[in-house]
Order: sequence, then C-alpha cells, then structure tokens
Amino acid sequence: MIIQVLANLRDEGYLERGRHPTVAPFFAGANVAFRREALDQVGGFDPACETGEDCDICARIALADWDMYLHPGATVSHGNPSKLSQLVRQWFRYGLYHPYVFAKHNESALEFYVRLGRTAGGQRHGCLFYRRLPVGVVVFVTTFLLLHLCLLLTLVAGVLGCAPAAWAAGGAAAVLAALYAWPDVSRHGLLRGAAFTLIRYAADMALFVGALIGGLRQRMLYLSATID
Amino acid sequence: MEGTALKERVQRLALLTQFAPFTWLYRGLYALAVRLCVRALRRIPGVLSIYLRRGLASGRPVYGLSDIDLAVIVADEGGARASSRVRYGGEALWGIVPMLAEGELGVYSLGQFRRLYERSPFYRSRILRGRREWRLLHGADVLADLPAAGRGEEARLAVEELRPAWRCLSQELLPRDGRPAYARHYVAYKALAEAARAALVSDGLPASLSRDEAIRRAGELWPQVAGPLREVAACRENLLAARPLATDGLLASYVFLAGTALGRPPADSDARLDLSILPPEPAALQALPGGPALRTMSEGVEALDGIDRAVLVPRLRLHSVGALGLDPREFAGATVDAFDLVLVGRRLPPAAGLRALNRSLAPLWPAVCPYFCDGRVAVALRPVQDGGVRDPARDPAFFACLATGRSLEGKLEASSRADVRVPVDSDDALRERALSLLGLFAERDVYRMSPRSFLALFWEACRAAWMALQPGGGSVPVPTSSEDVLERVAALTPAAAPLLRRLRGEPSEAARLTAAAVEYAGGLERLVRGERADVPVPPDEAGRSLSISVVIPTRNRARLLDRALRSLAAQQRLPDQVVVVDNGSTDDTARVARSFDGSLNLTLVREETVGIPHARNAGLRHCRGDVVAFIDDDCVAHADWLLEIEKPFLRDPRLGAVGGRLLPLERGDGPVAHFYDERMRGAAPSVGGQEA
Repeated sequence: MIIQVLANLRDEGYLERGRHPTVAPFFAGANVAFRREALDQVGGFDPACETGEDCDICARIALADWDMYLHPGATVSHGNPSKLSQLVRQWFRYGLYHPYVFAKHNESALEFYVRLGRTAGGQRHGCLFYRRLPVGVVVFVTTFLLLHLCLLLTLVAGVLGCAPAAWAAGGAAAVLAALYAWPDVSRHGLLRGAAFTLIRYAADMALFVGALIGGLRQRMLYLSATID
Repeated sequence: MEGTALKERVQRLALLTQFAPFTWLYRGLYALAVRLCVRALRRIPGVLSIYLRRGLASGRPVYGLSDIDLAVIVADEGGARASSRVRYGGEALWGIVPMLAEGELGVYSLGQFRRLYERSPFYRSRILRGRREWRLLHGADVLADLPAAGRGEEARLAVEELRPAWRCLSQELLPRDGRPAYARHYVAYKALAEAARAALVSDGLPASLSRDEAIRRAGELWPQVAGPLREVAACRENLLAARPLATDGLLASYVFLAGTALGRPPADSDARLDLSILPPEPAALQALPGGPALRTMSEGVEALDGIDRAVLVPRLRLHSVGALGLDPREFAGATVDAFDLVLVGRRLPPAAGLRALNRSLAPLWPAVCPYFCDGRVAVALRPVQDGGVRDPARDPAFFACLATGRSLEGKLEASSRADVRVPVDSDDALRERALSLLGLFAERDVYRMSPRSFLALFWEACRAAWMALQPGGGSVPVPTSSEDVLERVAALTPAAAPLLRRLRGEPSEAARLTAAAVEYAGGLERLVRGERADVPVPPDEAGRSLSISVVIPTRNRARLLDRALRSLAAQQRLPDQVVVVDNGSTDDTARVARSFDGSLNLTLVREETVGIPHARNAGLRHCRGDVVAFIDDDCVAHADWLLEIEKPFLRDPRLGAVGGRLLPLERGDGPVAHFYDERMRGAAPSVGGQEA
C-alpha cells in the first residue's frame, strides 16, 4: 500500500491531502527535497521507521500545513535489485513497517479498503467501511487476498469432505488466479507474463507476510494491499 | 477514451427510455446519489449548508444528461481548510457517483457567498433565482438570511443568463466539437430558451417564466426567430432525433434575442468614470505570439463574407476581473497585452467560416479573442470564461474603442485613443478594484497559479493600482500594454524598477521572482490604502536564491557511492553542500567520499546506529542549506536535477516538499530486473503537465 501510491504520482502539480495521510500519495526517499524549515518544524525523521520513513515524513509535513509539489522534471535514475531474494527481502521489509506508519497516523478502527476503478484525489483505495474499535483491523480487499481465502475454503471443505463446496471454492480460486495474472499476461504475452506474475506473487506474498507480522507487533490485524 | 464511449452509450440508453416506469427508476437512482453525496459531505467540519442547484432542483431534468450540481456553504472560520476538504471529498465522490460532474461542486465560504451576492450581478441573479429554485439538502437556509432584492431587480438581472447561454452555444464554433449530437441539441435548447427568456423579461414579462413558455411566447412575438425556436423545442422533446440542427439559424437567433434583451443600462448606481483608453502600441501588436499575427488575422477576416471592418481593441474588463476572487482561468487570457478582434458587420457570417477563422487564430489564443458585432451587441466567437457578450450600455469602453480606428492591413484596424464615460458601482470603484486585485496576492492560492496566469494577474493588479492612484477630476488614462504599465508603475516606485523589468523579461526568469512580486504587490496595496508613501523594495533577487544541501546516506557501497557523487559533481546547478552519511560502513566509503573534496563542498558524517532514518537525521543535523535534497547511494541524478528541484521552491514559499521522478537506471539481465524496469516505467510520472 505504501510504495504503490507512487504509481498515482503521474502529473506535475500539488498533492492532494486525504483523510488518511497514509493512503495519500507521498514522495519516495530516493528523490525528494524538503525545505529545511519544514523538516525542523516536524522534528526530522522518525527513527522507529526503518522503512516507510518517507511516507511518515510527508504525512507529518502535510499535517503541519505545508504544501507538497510533484515535479517530474527533477529526475533521478535508480538501481534496481536483480535477484529474487533481494526483491523478496526488500518487500518484506517494506511490509514490516507499513502497519507502524499506518497506526501512527490513524486511530484504531475496523477498516476495509477496496481498489477504486479510477484514482480519486490522487488516491487509489477507497474506504468501504470504517468504525472505531479498540483493536485495529485493517483489511485491503484485493484479488490476492480473495484468492487465498478461496484456497483456504477449498482446503477446509476438502478436509471436511464437502465436495460441492470444495469445487465451488476451487473454481472461484481459479477465476481469481486468472484475474490476478491478467494484467501481466495481457501486456507481456503468456510466457513473460507468467514469469512476471510469479515474481509479483513472490513480492506480494513477502509484503503481505511482512505486514501481517508488523501488524501483530502493533497489536493490530493488518491485511495489506498488494505491490501495484 | 473507453470511459467516454461507455458513458455515451449509457446516456443514449437513458435518453431512449425517458418514460415511466423507467423515469421512476432514474429518479430513485438520482435521489440515492444525492443522498450519498450529502451523507459524505455533511460530516465535514465547517459545512453549514448544502443546496441542490439547477436542472435537478427545478424544471425538468433529463435523466442521464443532467448532472448533480451541489452548492456547499462552509463557515468563514477555517473556511480554506473546510473547502479544501469538501473539494477533496467531492473528488472522492466523483470516483463513485457518475452523475456528479467534475468541477460541478460549488464551494463557498459564507462571507464569499455574501460578497458574490452583493457585488457580482451574475451571482446575484443566480442566487435570487436560487431562492425560488434551489433545494436545501442539509443545514441552515443561508439564502433566507441574505438581504432582499430591490423592486424589479430580478427582471433587470435576467440578462445575466445571456452570458452562460452564449458560452454554451458558442461551442458550435469550435473547430473541433467533440460533443455527441444529443448533448449539442440539449445545450442549444437551453441556450436559446434562456436568451428568449431574457428578451421577454426585459420586455416586461415576469422573471419566473419557464423555458418552454419562453420559447413559445418569443416565437409568437418575433416571427424572425420562430423557426429556430420551434426547431430546438422539437429537439428537446426528442434529443436522439437524427436531424442535424442548422447552426447558422441558432446563432443568428441568439444574436437577435440578445440584442433585444440588452441595451438598457443597469440602474444600480449613477456613478460614472471618465476613462481615456490609450491606443495599442505597434510594438505590442508585433509581440503577439504565433508568427506574423497581423497577416494571419487579416487573411482570416478577408475570407469571411459580410464583414465591413475588423478592429483590434485592447481587452479591458473593468467589472469581471477581480470581483470574483482568484480563478486562474480568469487570468489565463491576460487583459493587459491582450486584444479582442472585433468583426463589424450586419449579419453573423456562416458558422463554417467562423470555425475556419477560429482554426487560423488558434496560435494567437488567448492573446487575441475574436468577436462579432452587429452594432447592438457583440459576441465572442470562441467560448470565453466571462461569457463574452457585450453591449453599449454595460461596456461603453468596448464600443468606444470600436468607433475609432487606424488602418493596419486590409480590413484590419487598430483602435486609436478613445475617451469614454463608463458606469461603475460606486465613486470608489477604481480603488476598490485595485484593492481586491492586490488583495489576491495575500492568498496562498496565488502561488498555485501557472507562471503565465500569475504574471497576467500581476500586471493587471499593477495597472489597477496605478489607475487608482491617479488624481481625481480629469479622465484616467488606461495603459494597454505591460510595457506601458511597467513605465508608469516604475515612475511611481523607482526603487523597484529593476525588479519590474526582470518580471517583464524572460518568462523562466520571471517565474523565479514570484515571491518578490508578491511582496511588491503587498507594498502597492499599502500605497493604495494610503498607509505608506512609498513601496519598500524587496531585497535583491540574488539574495533570494536558495542554498541546497544534498544528503546521501550510504553503507558499504563505495562503488555505487562514487557513481552517485560523480552525478552530483556534474550538476548544472551545483549543490551548495553535500552531506555523505557513512552509516557504519566497513569498506573504503570514507576514502571514496573524500576524493570528491575538491569538486564538491563535502561534509562527511559518521553515524554508528545503522538504519535509514538515523542516517538521514544525522545528515540533517549537518545541513546548512535552505533546502535539503535526499538521494540514495544507488541512484544517479540527471544533470538538471537540482536546477529543477529548486524551481518550485523558489516559486512557492509555502512548499514543504518537492518530489521528482524515478526512472530505472540500466536495463539489467534476468526476469527480476526486467520486472522492475517495467514497473518503474509504468509508475514514473510523465514530464510536462499542467498549464492553467
């Protein structure tokens, strides 16, 4: 949920400020500049964020009533990981600190988010349900999540010996798997698309597990969004 | 594009089924959507009331075409924050509710709403009508608290609707009109019905006349427009009819009805102002964008039938500019240095010819806006923000400039000096206008304008200030080019002359001086108020450039760090300081960093606690720059990186952070590297972007 908002930062201009600063767009730490006065005012970076410190600082600067501006003309090229193990480790680390940044800026509540058909106000996820609770439960309803729910149901139904339910859940899982793979396959063809889907799956899984663990450390259930 | 095609299909389907029981279904859907909007918006702190306006609140909505048009009034206290939250909420709703058109959410603070009611005839007429028609959805009825209208005022204000009507209708003259036929039909119906209503009401009929009634009565009264009126009425009944509307007849009918409705002066005040409008300088005409502008215009006019002469008139909007607050669109077509090309003739030339004219004049837009004038009324031939309908009673300056002229080329003339008395709201009109324009520079939104709109606003405000400071008694000269304005204001505030000259120079240079211009405008405001006798000169602009510190946190990546530092040493605008934070490295990171000591102003910091935020904070403690830029050690900055980063900061002092674009560095091998490349390319923001 945190890095994928970069995909929304398409056009030059001021960033919108959302209700949840952590679902709002922000600038990645690899190419960003701050007015020193603003940084001093918010007291620098939060040492507890080993990743996501860029998201946190943007949220705090916006809260301190500073404006933020995206200027694509300022370009930096970034070296990328080339090994799957590096990629998985990176996303796992991202996931680990998402819940911390989220909990820091939001009150604990039961929250459901869905991916919007089109981005609104620079944000990709719409809040479907929100109710204050003493325990934080944050669920991003994604294809990835539904796919694994269906797989789980298939397994449970199989173990209980309920064949029709197992078939239905298995069928739904197959459909969801196809939906999950579709963006890559349609863009890059079957072979390359399948490879990309597997890589994306590995990264999604790393992020999801990381966020789940990170969430438990914050005493909340955090089912994260996927990487794109 | 896919969304548009789908929307069109859905609209067609809805139009095909505008009968019971479907209309009940549509009404239910619209009611549901309205409820959803209200539920989402009323929770925002500061929202006082929400109204439903226009089609859905009154009259006959066309389900599928009519938009949900809401007006949200927020409290004055914390109004800016509340309106930004309402707008944000509106945008989020826009993602869910298809009937909520983009930009249809009117958000006003209570004070602003009152000001609009008191000062702007257009809003006054809309709000007076709103008393009858708007539906209160939430909160207190603020309309009821507004002071009552004068006797017969609503009838007098009926002509205000002519302007939005013409703005819609003149879309027919755009070279490329992408609207589907049914939308054109509907808009043509609305526009002609409003024009007919305005003509009838100023003829003495009640202001509550309905559109259908207006069309019927006008057809009976004026046989020359009966045909087109019948045609649009038939179109309204069957919007999907394949029959094309005859554009020429529509436009000619509008011009006739507008000419009939206008011509009576507004009776608000008897204050008058003597103006003497200076002729445009040849240099200003030569400086128009788009190549040999005069030749283009002359040839465009020559190709039209029935045009006697064409006059270039300096654009002057005494009433509209500044009264309505800060709307960047208002200033995109500057009024200083801009002209109206007025074609004078007896009949409106055929629409096809006017479309061709618009196409050939496109490079000159918005510095030149074409008008047609038949003596009674003048209409803009391309949709413009303020509607673009002028008549001698309300715009005597426009018509006075038309009367005089010196020949330029072919039928083309430039207006010469014109002396005229114009009606104004009060004796203080010039001072009030100057203060309202200069007051805009205190608003934060002024930094958000595009550089072009900003400069247009700046010169307009300078002109207004200079005019306001002229001694009373005689007639006030109106300078028409920014060169003129510059000379006069510079004579008034000699110390600021170098700044003003640089603001009029190279546009990219001028954009860097935004903050200085804002400060100067603040000084002018105090001068107009009479609080000070001179304008304090903003400090030399050289003192305003920012110093930039770049922070690179790194750990055990000496080779990559070398590459990153080399890219910094090759910057077009060198960093004033580079802080390398060695985050507990065990390799030769320190040696690599020190090797750049000569080419960069380098500070090497050692931070033993491993972790990115620790490293960043350690770097931050050693920064001396006004701006702190961060880059990772595995990155390479493009040569113009810092130059670009600096620009937004220079423009807007309220900017806390600027982010740039990340691109993949090299095409690595293997599927994982390819995967990353594709992702980053897909996610990278596009270069270029918004211009108001």
